[in-house]
Amino acid sequence: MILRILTAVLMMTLLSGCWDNKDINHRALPIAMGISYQEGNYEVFLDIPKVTEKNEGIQVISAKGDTISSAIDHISMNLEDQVDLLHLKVIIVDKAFATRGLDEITASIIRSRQVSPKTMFVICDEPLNRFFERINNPSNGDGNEIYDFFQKNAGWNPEIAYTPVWKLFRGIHSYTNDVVLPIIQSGHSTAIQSVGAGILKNGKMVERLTNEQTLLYNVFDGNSMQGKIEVMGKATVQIVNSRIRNQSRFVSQKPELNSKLYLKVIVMDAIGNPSMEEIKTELQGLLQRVLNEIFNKIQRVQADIFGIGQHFRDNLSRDELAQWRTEYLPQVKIKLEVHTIIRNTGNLKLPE
Amino acid sequence: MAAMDEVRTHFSSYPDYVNQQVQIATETFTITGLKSLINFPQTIYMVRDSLLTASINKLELVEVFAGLGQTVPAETTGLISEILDGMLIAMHNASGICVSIYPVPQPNSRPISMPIMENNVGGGNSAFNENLEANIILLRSHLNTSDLQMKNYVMGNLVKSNVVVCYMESLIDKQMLGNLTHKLESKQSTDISNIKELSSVLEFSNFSLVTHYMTYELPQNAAKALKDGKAVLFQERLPFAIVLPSLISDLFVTEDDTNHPPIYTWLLRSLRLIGLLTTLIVPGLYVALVSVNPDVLRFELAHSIARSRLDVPYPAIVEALLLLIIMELIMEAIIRLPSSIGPTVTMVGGIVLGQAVVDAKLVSNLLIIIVAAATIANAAVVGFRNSYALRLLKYLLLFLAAFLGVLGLLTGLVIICAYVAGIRTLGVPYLQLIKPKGE
Amino acid sequence: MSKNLEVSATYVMTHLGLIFFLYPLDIIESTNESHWIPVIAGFLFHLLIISMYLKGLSYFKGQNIVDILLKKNKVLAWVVLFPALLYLAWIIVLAVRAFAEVLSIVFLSNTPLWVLMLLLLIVPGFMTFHGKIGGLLRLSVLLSFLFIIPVVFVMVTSFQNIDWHYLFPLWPGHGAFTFLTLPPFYKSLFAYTGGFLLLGFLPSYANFKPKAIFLGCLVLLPTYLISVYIPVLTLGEETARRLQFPYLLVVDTIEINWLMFDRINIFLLLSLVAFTMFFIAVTLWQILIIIRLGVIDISPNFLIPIILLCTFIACLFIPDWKTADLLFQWNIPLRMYVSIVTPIFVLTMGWLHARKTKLGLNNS
Repeated sequence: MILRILTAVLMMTLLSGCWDNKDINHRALPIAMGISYQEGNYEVFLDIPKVTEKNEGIQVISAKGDTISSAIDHISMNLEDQVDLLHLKVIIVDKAFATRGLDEITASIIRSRQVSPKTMFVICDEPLNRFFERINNPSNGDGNEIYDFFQKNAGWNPEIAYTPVWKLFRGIHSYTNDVVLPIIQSGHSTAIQSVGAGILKNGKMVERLTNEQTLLYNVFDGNSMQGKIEVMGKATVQIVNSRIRNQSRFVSQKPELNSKLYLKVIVMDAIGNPSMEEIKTELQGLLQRVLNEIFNKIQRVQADIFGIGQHFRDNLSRDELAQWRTEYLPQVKIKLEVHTIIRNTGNLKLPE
Repeated sequence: MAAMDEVRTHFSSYPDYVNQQVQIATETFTITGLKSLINFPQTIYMVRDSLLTASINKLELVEVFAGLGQTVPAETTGLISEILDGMLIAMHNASGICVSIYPVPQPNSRPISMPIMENNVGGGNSAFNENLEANIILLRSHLNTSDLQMKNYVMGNLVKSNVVVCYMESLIDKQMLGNLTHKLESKQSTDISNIKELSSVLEFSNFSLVTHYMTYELPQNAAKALKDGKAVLFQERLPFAIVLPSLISDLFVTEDDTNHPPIYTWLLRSLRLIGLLTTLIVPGLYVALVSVNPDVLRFELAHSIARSRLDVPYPAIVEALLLLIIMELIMEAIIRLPSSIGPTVTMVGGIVLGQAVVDAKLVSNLLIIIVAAATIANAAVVGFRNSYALRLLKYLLLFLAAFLGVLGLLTGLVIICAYVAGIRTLGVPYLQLIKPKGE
Repeated sequence: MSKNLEVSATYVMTHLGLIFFLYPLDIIESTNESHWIPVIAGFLFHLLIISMYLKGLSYFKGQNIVDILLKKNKVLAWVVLFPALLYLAWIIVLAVRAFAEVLSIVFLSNTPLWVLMLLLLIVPGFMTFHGKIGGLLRLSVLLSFLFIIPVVFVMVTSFQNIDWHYLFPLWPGHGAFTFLTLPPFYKSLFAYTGGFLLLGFLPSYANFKPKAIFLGCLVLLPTYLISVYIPVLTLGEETARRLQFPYLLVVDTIEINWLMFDRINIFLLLSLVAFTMFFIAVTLWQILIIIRLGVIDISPNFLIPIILLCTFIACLFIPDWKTADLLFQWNIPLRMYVSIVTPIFVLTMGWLHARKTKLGLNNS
């Protein structure tokens, strides 16, 4: 019986061929894709690491088309290998496209299985053709920079927003969640340079955050990770642990959120000779000021990047929740308290 | 007397036939036998000594003579078969009484020695050999109990050979034992000289991929099998015990394990399980990941594999087949080669060929690692009969993987599982752990 | 000899294969919030029917359901058996067709559908043909040994991106039981009723304690909850209901840095394919038994290829996913009939049988 099955399988393999069989060295595996939008036309850039003996650099290919997939097909047609978006790690869009709205492209990425929902979305602050030209410079390294730049175990920093496609997709459809996307441009001494983050409301870019604000956004979002550095007038500290406790309630029909942010830091640098207390108060003041800036910003543009509405799911019915961004978010009163603990001061003592 | 003459004519062309007259007092005795099977000087001394003692003591010679062995009728065919069995036939010429005497045999077997195919670390080292009696002695010394039953079957019409079935009366599954004895009894006329003939007597399918029996050289393994309620068969001239039925646990468990502390026992067994899965899956996984589902791999890995396959001119399946078949050839060649040349071939095959094949860009260097891992893992499984099945089944996975990618790999695994789950030996399912039980 | 482990493994595996694909979407579509209510409701329904079924079967030691029914009244027996046969045939066709489509979406976009359908038929056909029911029972243990670990691993890691706030509100403001009026809820019952009939088809040597089955159910309950709640907690209800296979997408969002594999969902999917093949094999076995004992005793050598061929042809007649989905909906009344009438019928017959034997004992 098993022999019969074996022969049947063999016959099938030999007779009908293997439909999905294509060797890995005959596939072009881009790691980054750039999409720019100009008057109804998409221009797609693919960043394909060269598969050669010595691992030298990348190949940037671009094509234009009415839709993104037609542009990709165009590239695939003209390339010696078949383009496979399976390993795409980063999608870079230009500002114009981001402001116009990313909902369609997000939907088509989620729909197609080819592109992983873990792919990062990034906004580019300069024209894409210039950006790709400059990162294609061989002196920059092996060509994987754009991938490593966003890898959590490689070049990622807490100053950079981290938003995969599925979060953007959730932001577009959810009542109470919006996202921030990192904004980058080609750098002077390094290949890529981070220039803050863009706030997306329902998939459209509406406002920007600076690098410092992005960092605090990440801290407040519980996404700070360890080992990041925080500068102010008196000292530099490293956040080793952060914890947020939120309390939501309705006070006379108005939503109110009491947030307590507990931070554990270590002192890295001290300028002058500040005491522990001074550093603490300075840090708390700074955090409160910057976070309140961000709160004001998001209330103005009605984009809930912190997911504040999440805390009110129990208090609002679904119909009310659907109105969260327009009706309730601008009215939310956010009271932020920051508690810091300086866990240690390194090898040097600080005055009490 | 006439019978004796016929016997003599029958054996007249045999160079090892001996026919000798012995005179004790007034009586003459004829002693015949095959000197290739019987140590004649000692045997005749033994016979004559007892007869002489009798005659000195004035005892009735014929009675003492009859008491030397078993009286057999003086009939040609019976005598011939006794002689062929290695017995000494003595006849009292006056009365014509024939006696078959158990002689001092010629040594026809090597002494009990070390096992050849089975290595063990912690236990005894004396192995079964070609001699049926020696094997039974070894088994008995490991299992000194009255519960141990042995049944002898003389199989074959033209060529006779003995098959001894041993089992523990209180432990064996009665239905299985019934099946086994029924099959042996109903086909007693079949000649058995090798394992294939034995399996056809036991009605094992010729197309079975998984072995239905295990063969053990070490008596402790056979004793363990008996204690687990299995049956042990000894076939004349086969230097191992045939254990029926084999179960899936025979892939992982040897008696030698129990000579280590329990933690290591279990670690060793899980290691063998890992070996089994590795040897089955890894070549197929390579093909699936390289040619059908590269998305499953991390980007870094995919990229470096792509680089290693840069100039390889054919699809991954051909590449893998090429190297695997060379590997099989090496393994087969080493058995044939005298042990003095074996290492050379290993070196040529392993190092020179492997390095050259990568340098010549015929295969990717990752594949060399894969094939090496699969071959090594294959050897981790207990029992070389089991490793044959794995060697073959990995090709099933390989082809399915080339056809359907990781899905094909999974399908292959499921097919193997289903196959294994459906196998029965003498009515006992293969997929059991310790004690074979019927359904 | 007791086969508790084998029977409950078979039971768990047949259900596991059905849970992760269509079930989450059906539950999410059936209600806007508090998804645990329909999950628990479905689960209780499931418990109810299997306990009735098991109780009924326990009156007839070691007989299978076809024997039990046909011994009494032929006409009444076919009132139960014919819909069951039809239902089993229907779910085989649907399972094969739907899973082939899933495989095509997820793994092999260029491979023609008929190859995948053939694969999903031939492998289960081989399982049934080669192993018979004893082989299937043993296979369940082997498969669960091999594939439960990846499934549990994926289930644990899929908690990576959840946001507990989506759990709320725990109790809906109004209309907590409106899901009972919506078809998606009844569609979701497929995940509960797909495999339970099997318990009546086991041979006499496979004794098992009902406790083993209920323990199996207990193992399944978290799986039902996880399959629904992971997508809801990760993506939110509004987003999750836009997806065809919410759980699979969520598994695709898991990031594990230390693993050499990029896509974790491959482990889950492959294990589920194995379970599904097993489910199809078991269903095939049930059809085989009904036909052989009830209609005509043909050798399985011919019957299995015939059934497979018919199924294959039926599958080819389903052109697209929408039709398959529609067939799932049309299947609802039949499914409800089979899953409610069969246990009740068996229970009543068992009860009458027990009373009769008791009377018989008293008289003598």
